[in-house]
Amino acid sequence: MKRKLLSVILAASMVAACLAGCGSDAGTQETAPAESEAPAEETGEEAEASGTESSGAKKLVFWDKAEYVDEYGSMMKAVVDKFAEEQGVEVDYVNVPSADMKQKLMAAIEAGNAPDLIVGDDTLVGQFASLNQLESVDDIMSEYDFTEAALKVGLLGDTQYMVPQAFTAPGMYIRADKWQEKGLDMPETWEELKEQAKIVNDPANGFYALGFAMGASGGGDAEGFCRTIILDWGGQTVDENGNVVVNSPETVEALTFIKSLYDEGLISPDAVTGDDMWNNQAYLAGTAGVICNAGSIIASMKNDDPDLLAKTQVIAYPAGPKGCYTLGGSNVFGIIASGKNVAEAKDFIRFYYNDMDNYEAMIEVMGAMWQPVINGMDDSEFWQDEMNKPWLESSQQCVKTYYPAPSDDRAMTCFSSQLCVKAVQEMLINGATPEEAAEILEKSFKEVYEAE
Amino acid sequence: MHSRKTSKAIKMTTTYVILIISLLWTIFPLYWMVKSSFTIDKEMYVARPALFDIAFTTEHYVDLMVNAKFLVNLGNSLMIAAITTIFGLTVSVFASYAMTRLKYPGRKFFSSTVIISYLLPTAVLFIPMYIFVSKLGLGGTRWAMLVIYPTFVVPYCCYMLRSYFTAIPYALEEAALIDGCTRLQSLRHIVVPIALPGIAVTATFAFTMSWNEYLYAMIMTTSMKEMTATVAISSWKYGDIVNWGRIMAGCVVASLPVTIIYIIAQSLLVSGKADGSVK
Amino acid sequence: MEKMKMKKVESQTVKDKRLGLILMIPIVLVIFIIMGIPLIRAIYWSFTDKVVGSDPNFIGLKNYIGLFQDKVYWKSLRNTAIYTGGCILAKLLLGLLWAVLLNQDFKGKGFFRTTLLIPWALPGMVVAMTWRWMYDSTYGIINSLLLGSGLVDMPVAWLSSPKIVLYSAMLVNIWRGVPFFMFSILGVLQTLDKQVYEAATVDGAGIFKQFWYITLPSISPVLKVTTLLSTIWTFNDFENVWLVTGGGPLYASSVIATYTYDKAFIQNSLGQALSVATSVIPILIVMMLIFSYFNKKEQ
Repeated sequence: MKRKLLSVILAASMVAACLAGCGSDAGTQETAPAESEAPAEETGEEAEASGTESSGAKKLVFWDKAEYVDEYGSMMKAVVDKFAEEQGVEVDYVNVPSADMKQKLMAAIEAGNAPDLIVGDDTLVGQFASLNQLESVDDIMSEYDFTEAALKVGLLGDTQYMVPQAFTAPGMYIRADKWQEKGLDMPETWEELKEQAKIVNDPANGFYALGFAMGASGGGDAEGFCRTIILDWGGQTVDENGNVVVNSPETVEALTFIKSLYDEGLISPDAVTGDDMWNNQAYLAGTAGVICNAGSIIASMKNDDPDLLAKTQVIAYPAGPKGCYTLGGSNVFGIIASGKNVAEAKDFIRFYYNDMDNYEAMIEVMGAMWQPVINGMDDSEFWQDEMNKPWLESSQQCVKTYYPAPSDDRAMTCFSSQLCVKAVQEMLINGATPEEAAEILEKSFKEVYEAE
Repeated sequence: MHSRKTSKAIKMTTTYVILIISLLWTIFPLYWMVKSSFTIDKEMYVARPALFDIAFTTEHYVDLMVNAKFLVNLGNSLMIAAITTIFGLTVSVFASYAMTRLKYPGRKFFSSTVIISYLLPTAVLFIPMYIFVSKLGLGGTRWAMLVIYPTFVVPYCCYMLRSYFTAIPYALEEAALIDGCTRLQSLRHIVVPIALPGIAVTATFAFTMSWNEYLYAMIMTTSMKEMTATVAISSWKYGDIVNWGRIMAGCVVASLPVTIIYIIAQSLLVSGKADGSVK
Repeated sequence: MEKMKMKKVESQTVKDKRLGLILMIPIVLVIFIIMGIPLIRAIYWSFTDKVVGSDPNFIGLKNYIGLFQDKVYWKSLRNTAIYTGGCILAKLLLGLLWAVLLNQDFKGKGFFRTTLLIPWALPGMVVAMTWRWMYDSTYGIINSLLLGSGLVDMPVAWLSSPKIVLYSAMLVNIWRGVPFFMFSILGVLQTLDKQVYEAATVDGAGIFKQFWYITLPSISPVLKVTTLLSTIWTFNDFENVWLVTGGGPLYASSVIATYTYDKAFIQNSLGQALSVATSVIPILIVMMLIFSYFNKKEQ
C-alpha cells in the first residue's frame, strides 16, 4: 500500500516529466491553477457577500466546547437536531477542543466566518465580549428563572453578554485515607491545612501533601488559587471601583503564605510549570494529597480509578484569617455579533432552556462537575445526594474569578494573563521577596488598568 | 597485513559501540510511547513507573478506532499529504531545473525569493493565511491545507532538488542537447533518472512535512471530520482532563505510515546505485 | 557553419528564457500570492494596534519601540539564539557521525539505518507529547530511571528549573532532528565512488585525512543546504518548545516563536505579536546572505 503510494508519487512526477518531454505544454498546464485561483482571490469578498444573501437557507453555526463526558455531546446533538427539524434551520454543530477554542475563534472572527453561537468557559467567552464581539442577551436573561449568581455571570457594565449554561464550581479534593492514617480532621482554615500537610508530606516516596499548580501557560486553576488566598487574607487586587489596590500588607501576607508552601517542600517543584492538567494528573497519580479543581476530575476517576474516588473526599474551601472565598467559573453561551444568524442563535438558546427536563438531565450527566444555573433544581434526588451536594452549595457561594473588580475587559485580561501567578513565580523562580512580588503585581495590574 | 586487520577490527568495534548507544537513545522514547499506549490508564499515573512491567491492554486502540473514529483523520492526512507531495514535487522538479540550468531574466530574484519565503515564521503567517483561505471559501475545511501546504513544501523541495541537480555534471546534459534533445527531454532522460534517489528522498520528506504539520491544521479545521491526524490527537485534551492512553495510541498509529514510507524510501536510497552515470 | 552554430545557440538562449519563465509560474503562484498576500497583511498589522475583531489603527513604530524596552523580548531573542545554535551544532555533528559510520559495510547496517531514522518520521507534536510525558518529575520515566540507578537523589526538575528548561526542550529537538542530517548526508555519501577511498587507503591516507579531503568536499553542498534548512526550522520552531515547556516557567524557555504566540493569543494583542515575529525577519535575511556569500565564494 505504502510502497504503491510512493511509486504513485514518483510515477506522477515521471508522468509530468514525460509530458514536459513531449513539448512545453506542461508549462501551460501548470498555469491552469494560476488562472483559476487568482480570480477567485480577487472576487472572494464579493462572492462571500453575495453568497449569504442569495442562498436563502439559513445555516446556524454552533461551536460547542468538547467535553470529556461523551454523553454530553450526543445529548447536545439531539437538541440541535430537534431544533433544526422544528425550526427549519440548518445547524452545523461542531465540538471544539477547549484548548484551541480561543485561537480558532480569533482566526474565524478575523476572517469573517465566525460561528453564530459558541459555548465556552466564562473567562474565554468574556474576552470576546470585551473585544466587542458579542451580542447583548438581555432579552434571554429576563425570560428564564436564572439563579441570582447566574444573573451576574454575563453582566458586563449594565448589559448581559453571556447566557450561563452551568456553573463549574471548584472544590477541594483531599486524600481522606492519608489524613485518617495520621488521625487528622478535615482542615477548616488554610493555616490548618498547612500544618496537616507537613505531617502527611512524604516526598521521598513521591507523595507531596499539596498539589497547587503554579504554571503560567494558560488555565485558570493557578490564578484562581492565588486570588483566593489574597482575598482570604483580606487583600484585593482591584477594588469595586476599578482602582488597583493590590500592593497592601494583606497581599504581602498572602504571598508570604503561598511562598511558604513551596519553600517548605509541601508542593512538588514541578508545580511552577503545572497547568490545569497538571494538578489532575498529580492527583490521579497519587502524588498529590490535596488539589483545588473543578468537578472534572471526578468524571475521570469514575472511569479509570474508582478506588481513588473512594479514598477521596471533597470539602469546601478552607478559610483565611480575613474571609473565606470560593472563586468559581461557569460555562456560557455567547452569540457572535458579526454572525449572520443572531436571531436564530437566540432562538436556539431559548429552545435549549424551554425543555427544562432535558436541561436537568444534561447537567446531571456531567456528574457533579456542572451545577444548574436555573432556580428550582436543588431538591432533586441528584443534588440531595451526599456526594453531589457540596458542589451545589459551592456554586451558590461562588464569587466571580476577578472579584471584586468591576466586570469589564480589564478584569478578564488580568485574569487570563495570570498576573498573580506570574508574581508568585517571580518569588519561586527568581527569588523575589513577597514585598517585591506585590510591587510587581501592582505594576502589572496598573499597566492594564491605566492603559487608557 | 596483520595490522590492517586489527585496525579494521578496532574500526568496526567503535562503529558498533557508537551505533548501539545511538540506537538506545533513539529507541527509548519510541519504546515508551508504544508501552504507554498498551498500558491501562490506572498504571499510567504512577509515581516511579516501571521500565518493563506492563498491565497490558488494547483498549486504547479500540477506543481510538471505534469512539474517536481516527481512520477519518488518518484518511484526511493521507489525502492532504499525498496531493501536496505530488503537486509540490512536480512543480519543484521543473522549477529547480530552471533555476539550476536555464538562464532567464529574474532567475536570481526567484531563487532568493524561494529561500526568503521559507524563512518566515509560521507564527506570523497563520492568522493572515487563515483569512486568505477563508476568502477562497475554504475556511474550516481540510481543503484549506491543500492551498497552504505548498507554501512550505515547494520551497523545501526546490532547496533539496537544486542541490541534487547541481551535483549532476553539466557535461552529461550538454552532450544530449547537442544531439538535438530539448531541455525538457534532457530533464526527463538525464537529470531526473540520475537524481532519482535524491527525488525520492525529497518526496519522502515532503510527504512527512505535510503529514506531520500541526499549527496550520489546528487553526484551519474545527470539526472532527475535517481534522488531520495530528490535530485530532491534540484535541483529546478536554480542558483539564487528558486522555493520555488514547493520545499515545493515536501517536503510535499516526507515526506508522510515515515510518513505513521511510523504510521503503531507504531501500530506494540503497538501490539508488543507478547513479553510476554521475561518475 | 560557424554562423549556423551561433544561431542555434542563440535560439537555445531564447527558448531557455521562455521555458525558465514558464516554469516559474507555479512558484509565483505559491509564493507571491498564497504567501505574499498574508505576509503583507502581517507586516502591515505589526505597525498597528490591531486586536482581534477590530480595525487596525496605524501607530507607526510604537510596537517596535515597545519591544526594545521589553525584557522578555530580549530574553526570547537570546533563548532563540541558544536554541538554534546549540541544536544545529549537535544535530550536524551527530548526523555527520552517524552518516559516516553507516556508510561502511557491516552486518546489521540496514537495521541501524532504518531505526535511527524513525524519530524524523514522527510528527513533531507526537515527539513533544512523548518527551513531556517522560520528563515529568513525578511520574516521568527519566527521573524514575535516574533515581533508581542512584545517579541523583532528588528528581531533576527538567521542565520547572529555569536553568535547565531550555536545554530540556533542545534535547527533544535534537533527538528528532539528527536523522534528517544523517539521511541527507548519507544520500550523497552513497553516490560517492568507493574506488577513490580505496585508492586513498592504498596511498596511505588515514580515516581523518580521507574524511577531510574526500568526504567533506563532496558532501559540502548538501551539508550547507541541510544546515540552512534545519537552521530555519529550528529558529522558527514553535511546536516543540510550546508543547514541551510552554515557554515557561516565567518565560525561561521563551523563544521568538512562542513569544509571538503568547502575545497574540494569551495577551490578545495581535499587532504586538506580529511585530515580535516581523522583527526577526531581518536576522533571518542576514543569515541567508551570509549563507549565499559562502556559497558563491565556493563556486
